[in-house]
Amino acid sequence: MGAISPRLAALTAAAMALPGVHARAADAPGEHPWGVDATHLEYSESGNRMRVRVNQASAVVPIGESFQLKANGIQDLMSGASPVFNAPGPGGKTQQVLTGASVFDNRKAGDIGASASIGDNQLTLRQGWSKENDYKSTWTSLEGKRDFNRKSTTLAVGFAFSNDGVSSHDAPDDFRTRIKRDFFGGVTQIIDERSLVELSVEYSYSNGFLSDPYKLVFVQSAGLLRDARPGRRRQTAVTVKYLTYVPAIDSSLQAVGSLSTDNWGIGSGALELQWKKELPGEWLVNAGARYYTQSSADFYAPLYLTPPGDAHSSDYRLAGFGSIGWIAGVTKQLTPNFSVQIAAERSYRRAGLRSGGTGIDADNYIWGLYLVTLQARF
Amino acid sequence: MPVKLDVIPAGAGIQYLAATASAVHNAAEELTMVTLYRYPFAAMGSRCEIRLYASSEETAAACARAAIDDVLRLETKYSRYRDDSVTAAINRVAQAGGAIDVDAETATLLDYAAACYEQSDGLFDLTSGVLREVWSADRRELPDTDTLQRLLARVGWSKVRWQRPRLVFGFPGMEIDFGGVVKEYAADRAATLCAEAGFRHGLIDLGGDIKIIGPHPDGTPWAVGIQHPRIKEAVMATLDLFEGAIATSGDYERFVEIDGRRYSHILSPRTGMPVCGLAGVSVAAPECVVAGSATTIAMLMEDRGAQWLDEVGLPHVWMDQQLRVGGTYA
Amino acid sequence: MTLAARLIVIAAVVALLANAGCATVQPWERGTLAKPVMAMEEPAHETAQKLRTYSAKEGGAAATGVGGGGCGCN
Repeated sequence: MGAISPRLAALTAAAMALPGVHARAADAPGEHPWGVDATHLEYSESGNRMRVRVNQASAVVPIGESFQLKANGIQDLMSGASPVFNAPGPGGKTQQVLTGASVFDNRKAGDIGASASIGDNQLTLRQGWSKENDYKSTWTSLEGKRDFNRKSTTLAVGFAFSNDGVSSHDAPDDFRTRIKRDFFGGVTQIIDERSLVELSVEYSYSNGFLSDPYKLVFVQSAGLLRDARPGRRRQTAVTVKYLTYVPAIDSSLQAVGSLSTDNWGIGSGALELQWKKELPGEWLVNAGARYYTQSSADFYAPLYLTPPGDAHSSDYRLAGFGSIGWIAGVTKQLTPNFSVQIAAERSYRRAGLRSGGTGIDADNYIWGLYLVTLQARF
Repeated sequence: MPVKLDVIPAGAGIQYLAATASAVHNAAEELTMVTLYRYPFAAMGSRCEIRLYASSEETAAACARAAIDDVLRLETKYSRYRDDSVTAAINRVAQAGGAIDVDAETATLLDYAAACYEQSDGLFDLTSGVLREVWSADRRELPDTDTLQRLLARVGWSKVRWQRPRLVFGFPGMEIDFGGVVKEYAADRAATLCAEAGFRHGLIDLGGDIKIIGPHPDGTPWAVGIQHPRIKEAVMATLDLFEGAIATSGDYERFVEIDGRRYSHILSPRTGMPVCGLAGVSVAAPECVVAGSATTIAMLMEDRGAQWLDEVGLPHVWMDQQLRVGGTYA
Repeated sequence: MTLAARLIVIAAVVALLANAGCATVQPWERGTLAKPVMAMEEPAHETAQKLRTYSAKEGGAAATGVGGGGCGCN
C-alpha cells in the first residue's frame, strides 16, 4: 500500500473531527474475557536422570473495562539422579558421577498480577514467590506496553527484580542470597498484511551466591572442591522473531533467532522454526525444530588436572554443547468456551553439536516432555 | 480490464453473501455463543438494516434501538423536507441572504464538506442543490442554457463565507444540502454506538452505505456484493471486509430519462448538467464519510474519476460506460 | 563476545528491520493478521514453561520477556 496520499490525509483528518465517527480508543467491554487454564506436564531425562511432574493453574479476571487481575500457581515434583561432578574413567574417558540416592523435591510457586489498560497503553505489575526445600525466591516485575501507528507498532519495556535464597540439604536453614535485576525492551512491528517482526533485548545483572551447592569439581591429586562461580553475572540477549502467513499452504511460519553473551564467557545462539496450521473442525496443529548452542564458561572445565582459580565449575549446564530438538502440538476447540492442547518436545543435547567452548560426551543426554492444557474462556 | 460478470441471483441493492462459518475460533476473542440479529428500518429515503451478533435478544434490540434513534435524529435534523430542520433554518437565511450561527455538529460537517470541496477541485459542493429544480424526475426535455446559467450564478461554495460558527451568504437565492454527507456520517455514528455498547461483530447498512462493527464471530469477513450498474441481478464485484466502511455511487440509482438517454442524479456545479463518467463506483475506507465522499467525488470527476481514485489511494472498484471494470479490486 | 561485537550484532539487526519496507497496513487489510495461527504472543503460561525448561538446562539467556523468577532446578 505505501504512505497515505495527501488527499486521503486531508479527508481523513476532517472526518476524524466529526463526533462519533470512531469509537474511543479504550477496549469495549467483553474484550477481556474471564479465563482459567490448567496444565499437567511431565519432563524426563535419559539415563534415569531427572524427572519432573508439573501441575499448573492460572486465572485471568477482568475488572471493569480497563483492568485485569491474573494469578498463577505451580507445583513441581522433582525426582531422579543428578550429576555431581566428573571424574576420570577407564580408558582415559571422563565419566559423570551422579547422586546416589534419588533426589526428591517438591516446589510450590505462585504469582499474582494486575494490568491496567488506558487507551493505547498497558501497564502490568506482578509479584511472585517460589519455595522448595533448599531454595526460595521472591520476585516483582513491572512492564509497560504502548501501541503506535494504529496498532502497527507495539513497544514494550519491563523491569524485574528477584531476591533468592539458596541453601542445601546439609544445612537447609542456612540461606545465601542471590539477587537478579532484569531489564527488557522490545518492539513488535507489522510489516505487511501478513507478516510481523519483533526485536527484543534483555539485560540482566545478578550478584550474590551464584554457585550450585550440590555440584563439586574434581581436581587431580587434590580431591573434590565445591562449585564456585563469580559473585557477579551480567548477561545480554537479543532475540528476533519473524512470523508470516503463507497462503499457498494456509499456514503460518515463524523463525526465532537469539544470541546471548555474558561476562562468564558463555555465548549462546538459538534458532527455532515453527509451522502452525488451522484444520477444519476447530483443530490447530503446530510443529517445529530448535537448535541451541553455547560455549563454555571461562571458569568451566570437566575436571582439573591442576588446582583451579577462584572460580571453578564442572556443571554440565555451563559446558560447551549444542542441542537439537523437535516440538509438536495439537489444539482443539471442544466447545465455544473450552479448548485442549497436547504438546510434546524432545531434545538431544550433545557436546559435539556446539560451536565453541569445552564439553564432554559424558554429559550428553536426551530430554523430553509432554503436556496437556485445558483452557476455559468466558 | 476484462469484465467479470458474476451472475448471482440477487435483489436490488447491496447483497450480503454470508460467509460460511469455517468454525475455527479466534482464540483470543470472545467465545460465548452469539446469534445474528437483524433490524431493518427505513431512513433517509433508503432501506436500512442493522446486523448485530449478540448473546441475547434484549441487548441487541436495545443497541439497535439506540442506533436507529440516532440515525432518525440526523434524518430529522438535516432533512430538506422539514421546516424545523437545521437545513431549513440555514436555507431560510440563505434564501434571503444573511448570516447564521450553527451548532457544533453542523460546524464539523461544514468543515468536512469544505475539505471535500478542496480535494475534489471544487466539484463536491454543498450549494449545488438549487440545480435540482430543473432536473426533477418528471422532466421530459433538457433545460436551456439560459436557465442553467441563471441557476449556476447561485451555486458555489466559494460564494459562501464559512468561519466557524458563522455561515454568511453574500447574496440571496442560495441553498445548502447536506444529503451528500449525512447518511454516511449516520452510518459511522451508528457503528460507534454499537461498538461502545460492547458489540464486536456486526454491521450498519444505510441504503448501501455500510460501516462494519466487526467481522463474523469466527473471524471471517463480511462478503459485500456490489450491484452491477446495468444488470440488476448481477454483482460487479464481491469485496471481503473485516472492518471499515464501503460506499457505492452510480448513475443507475436515480436518474431522469430524456429522449431515451439516461441522466444521473449527480449534478456538476460547474456545468449544471448531470455528470457522465463512471457508471458505478465503490470505495472502501476506515470511515464511511470518507468512503461516501470519495465515491461522490469520483462520479463528479467524470472522465477523470478513475485517475482521481488512484491518486487518493483507497481500495476501490469502478465500472465505466463501456462496462469495463477497474480499480484495486478488479 | 566483546562489547563492540555485541553492538555490531544489535545494529545489524536494527538495520535489517528498518529496511524491511514496513508498509502502512490499513485496518481493512488486517484480516490475515487476526488468524489464530498468527498470534505471536503465546499464552503466558506457555512462555513461562518454555523459559523454565530452557533456562534450567542451558547457560545462555533467553530474551523472552520479564518476570518468572527462578527455581532451584538441578
